[in-house]
Amino acid sequence: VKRIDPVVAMLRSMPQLDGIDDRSLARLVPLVDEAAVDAGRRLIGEGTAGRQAFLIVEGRGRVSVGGKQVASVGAGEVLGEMSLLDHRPRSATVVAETPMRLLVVGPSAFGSFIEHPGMARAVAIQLSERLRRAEAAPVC
Amino acid sequence: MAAMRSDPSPTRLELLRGVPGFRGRTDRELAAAARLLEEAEVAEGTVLIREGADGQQAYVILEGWAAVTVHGEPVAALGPGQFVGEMAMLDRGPRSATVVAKTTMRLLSIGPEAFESFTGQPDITRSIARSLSERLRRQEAGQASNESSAQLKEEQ
Repeated sequence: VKRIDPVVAMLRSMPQLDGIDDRSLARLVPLVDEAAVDAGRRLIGEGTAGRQAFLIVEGRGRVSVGGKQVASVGAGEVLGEMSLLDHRPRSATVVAETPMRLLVVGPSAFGSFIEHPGMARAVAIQLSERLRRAEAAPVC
Repeated sequence: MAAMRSDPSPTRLELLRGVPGFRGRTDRELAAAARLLEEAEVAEGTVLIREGADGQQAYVILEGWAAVTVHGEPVAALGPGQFVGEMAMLDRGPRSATVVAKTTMRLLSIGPEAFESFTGQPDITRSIARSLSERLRRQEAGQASNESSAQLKEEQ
């Protein structure tokens, strides 16, 4: 009986990696770490140096900028990719709203992830949607 | 001798080479990409993109500058090497901003098919994502500072 590695199952659950072949997926497995975090735990701190991105497998996180909530993120979304794309400090704080299960992707692993066209595209689409929401938000 | 459509001019290849995401490409790869694009020249004052409209084109700026406004407020200026109109192509939503040529501009126009082909290439998509990331940072930072100045006014 072939056992499925839990990390493989988690990677398979990410919509960004839809259509990825088994071999490419297998190459990603050793590049990620699995993590479980409690509700209330801070994953990302605004203004700090960012070295990791997170793929959300389960749970929800609250995104805030300058203390003001700007978004809520959940399963199937990517977090922390901005600092890995542009090498600048974290633009927002992210706190776990519920217990969360995550895949943690380091800087060099992120390069391999984004080599997958579906992932690159999904990251760009997610950024585009966030930018739309940010632009549509009323300015006081 | 007039250049054939299928034979992009060397200048155009050089310009394309300067666009993030196309750096480090061979002449052959650049020529293949350039064939998917239409070159356009627009006069100052031309509205390239109108907020709220449906979008079927993105552009790469070769020369000139454009102003970006959202709800009539200026949010950015765009120049050579930058992408315009990629958001609506990515997420198929309506145009999020209005873009007006501030000078005479030379552009490469990217239709849906070419865009599909480009975003299959991680380097190009990555450079698009990086520019979106920078815009998002500016937007969020602007909102946070507006928020705190509004709070300050209330407290005073």
